[in-house]
Amino acid sequence: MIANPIVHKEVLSSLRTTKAIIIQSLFLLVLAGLVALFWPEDGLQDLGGQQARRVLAVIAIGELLMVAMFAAAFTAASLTVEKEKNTWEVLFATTLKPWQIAVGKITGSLSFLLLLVISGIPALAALFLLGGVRGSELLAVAGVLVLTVLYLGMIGLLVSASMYRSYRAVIFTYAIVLVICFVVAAPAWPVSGNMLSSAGPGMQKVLHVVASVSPLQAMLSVVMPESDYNTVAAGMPPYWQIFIPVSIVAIVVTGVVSLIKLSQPLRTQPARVKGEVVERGQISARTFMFIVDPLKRKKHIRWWQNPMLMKEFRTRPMLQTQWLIRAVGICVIVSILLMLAVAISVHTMVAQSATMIPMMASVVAAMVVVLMLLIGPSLAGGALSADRETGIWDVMRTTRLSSWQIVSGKFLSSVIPLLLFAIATLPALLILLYFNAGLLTNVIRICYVIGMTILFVSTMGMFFSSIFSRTATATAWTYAVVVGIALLALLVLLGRDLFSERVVRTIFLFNPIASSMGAAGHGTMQKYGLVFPHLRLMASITAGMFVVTVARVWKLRRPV
Amino acid sequence: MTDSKEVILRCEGLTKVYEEITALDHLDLEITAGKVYGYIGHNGAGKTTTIRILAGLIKSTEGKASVCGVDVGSGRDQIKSMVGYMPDSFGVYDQMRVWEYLDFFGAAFKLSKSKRMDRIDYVLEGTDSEYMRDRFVDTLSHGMKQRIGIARALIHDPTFLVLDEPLSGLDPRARIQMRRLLRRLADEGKTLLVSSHILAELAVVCDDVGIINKGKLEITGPMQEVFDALQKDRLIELKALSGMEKALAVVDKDETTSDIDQSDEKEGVVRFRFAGDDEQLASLFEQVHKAGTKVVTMREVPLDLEQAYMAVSGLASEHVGNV
Repeated sequence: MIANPIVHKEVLSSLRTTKAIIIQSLFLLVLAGLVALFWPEDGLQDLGGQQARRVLAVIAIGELLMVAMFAAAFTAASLTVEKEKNTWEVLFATTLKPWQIAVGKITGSLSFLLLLVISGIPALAALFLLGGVRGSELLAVAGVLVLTVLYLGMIGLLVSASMYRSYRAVIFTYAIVLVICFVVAAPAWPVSGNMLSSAGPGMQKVLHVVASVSPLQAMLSVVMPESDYNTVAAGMPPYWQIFIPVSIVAIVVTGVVSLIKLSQPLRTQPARVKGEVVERGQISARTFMFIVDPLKRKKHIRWWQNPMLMKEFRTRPMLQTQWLIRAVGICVIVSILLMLAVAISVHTMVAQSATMIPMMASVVAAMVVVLMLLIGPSLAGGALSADRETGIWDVMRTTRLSSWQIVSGKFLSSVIPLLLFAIATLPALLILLYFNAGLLTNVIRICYVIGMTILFVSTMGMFFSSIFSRTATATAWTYAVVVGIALLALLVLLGRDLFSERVVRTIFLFNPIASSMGAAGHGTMQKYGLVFPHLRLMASITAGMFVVTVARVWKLRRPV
Repeated sequence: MTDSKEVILRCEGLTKVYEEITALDHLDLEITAGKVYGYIGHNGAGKTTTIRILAGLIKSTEGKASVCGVDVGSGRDQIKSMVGYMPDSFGVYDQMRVWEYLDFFGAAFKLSKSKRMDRIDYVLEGTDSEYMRDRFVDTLSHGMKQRIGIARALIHDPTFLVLDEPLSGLDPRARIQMRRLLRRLADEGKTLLVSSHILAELAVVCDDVGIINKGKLEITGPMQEVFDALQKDRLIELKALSGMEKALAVVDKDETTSDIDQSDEKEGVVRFRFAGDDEQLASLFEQVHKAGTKVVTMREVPLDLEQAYMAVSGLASEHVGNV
């Protein structure tokens, strides 16, 4: 392997990039920050080692979340970039065997991530100073981290091997990582009303195995075995014990599939060469197969329409009508299923329904906010950089489009679909109103938070897109900040008794998930009174980013 | 239709400096209406910098440029309506058909819907691209994209077109079609500045030509004049069966000759530079013949455009005449 020139080139070039330096620095800074923040002030520990274990939990989970975030950012575009630059075919023209190229790329991409985990070991080792933490526990934490890097990194590489555009690969990988880390584990958490414990014995086992796929759940079972976040099915082994074989199988399978994909010469991107078109008013078999036929001739842009907005809706795959309808349809279906679940639960558990309805409202609100946070960066992250990447930005500069038309068109092209998704999930909230009309104020507040989250995440994507000229970088930064604000900040929940109320509240003020739960009347979050201060804070940040974005676009349009 | 004497583009002392590199050095240039101006230079000579200044994308460090009397720097909005710009790379939008692509840019130039519909028909027909109307832009071949690039540059009916390397990467057939298209546009009254790093590519289509090297315009003028100026030192080749020494004595004595190359004398061939006119050349031929040399041929070696370009750009002056 050492003799493989691709390994040499990949390892060296990945370590030389600015991205590597930034990621490495950011990783160590956050880790050092977490240690400093959660370190007991007197440097001593209680006899039971509870404080040390809590610090271990925060550092281990923080490190895992960062590793998960960077694994996607580092691997998802590693192969698509080669395809975009046409350097992939050049490698195949050498005497290197296809499998050598594939192994070289995989080793190169993963080595940096492993280096990241190794560089975080001193932070974990520092816990020995506090005592109360066993070496075997630290070893288990390091093991889960290494497996997570390989597991998520290989998924990113497989996506990168299968796709042609970097920004799509980044989006797709982040979506998979977020599902694997959070969605599958949610049934074991209080946020889902501990769905796992209330299910039947068979279902419990299924949910337990599904949650074991999540590296986050595996880590929680190592560092917080007694917590509410570690609900287990009766008679099942701890999550980490299932995670180890599951992740190893996943690494091997994704590795083999990636190797097979990479070993084949690049096939040309499927093209729609003929350019078939269905004229307006023409009736054929297709008419009955589509609500909106993608091949139907479109109308000319009207005088009152923003050309930029129309262009965005016509060119970006995720914004095309047929895909929007499908996505909104899925949201409606999920929402209706939630509605049914709520209705059934309320009828079967009448006695508890008084406390259960606000809890359910907070679950629904958090889910909608998470959905916006997941989709938003992918819609807005490439808004401006994609045009700069393809070189069409220069042509756009020679037209009479104003900076405002460009920014508003791009901005609306991410806000409109997010609003549609949010509206599609409303039935789940409306059924709660049916059972408890007193929740009207809460539902209105939830809508405010969701609306603000949509504006915030769209503006942030645009902001990074105006700063970075590469879509993959802009999207990765948007996701990194969103995950940092929305998910890393929730780590405070694990050690909230270490901080003053004021500190916890200040951290939660930035967090749309916490605020949406507070708006829904969730007991813990409501007491912080987050909603309106959160709205004001996010509105200020959003307005600031929007102004900077308009200024950047104005500058980018000017002659240099 | 514009007056054919009207100056469409005027550059005076146009200069662009990037930190320590002078990309464009006091460019003075005029292009009159309805002309195709070939802007020739090797990679990095300053062609794209000039074009980007004229398209309003970058500012000049010094000097000024105007299109139809409107200053490129201060009258950006007017310039946008008057200039059609085609960059050297074609930005692709996924999932967009050719007519939708043109419709978007028409709307971006604030053309009304009816005007846009007319212009789309007109530019597609004018660029022989009607058959591509419903094709997706990302599936087009390079040659097709170049045509659509020109169609897009024409969508708002500009007076002046600046085309950056429109012939690059095209196969011979597509190149011929593109040259015809450029000529047709000029015949229809458009004024064009077309860049290329290959002089021969533009020779048949350009009225005027300029050669730029290291940011300086080395030579400019009507195509034929530039060509004549480049080959004022004509290369003459003499092939004889015998008596070559007598011929060499005559040539050496003549004041209009220089650089006598005797490297192929054994094969009965010598070459020399000649700076006189046709009358003097005929007289020299006669003298060589009278001296008793058995002449097989005595001819002027045509200087091809590549050599001329190399000579003026100083890239390979030592090789001129020996290629």
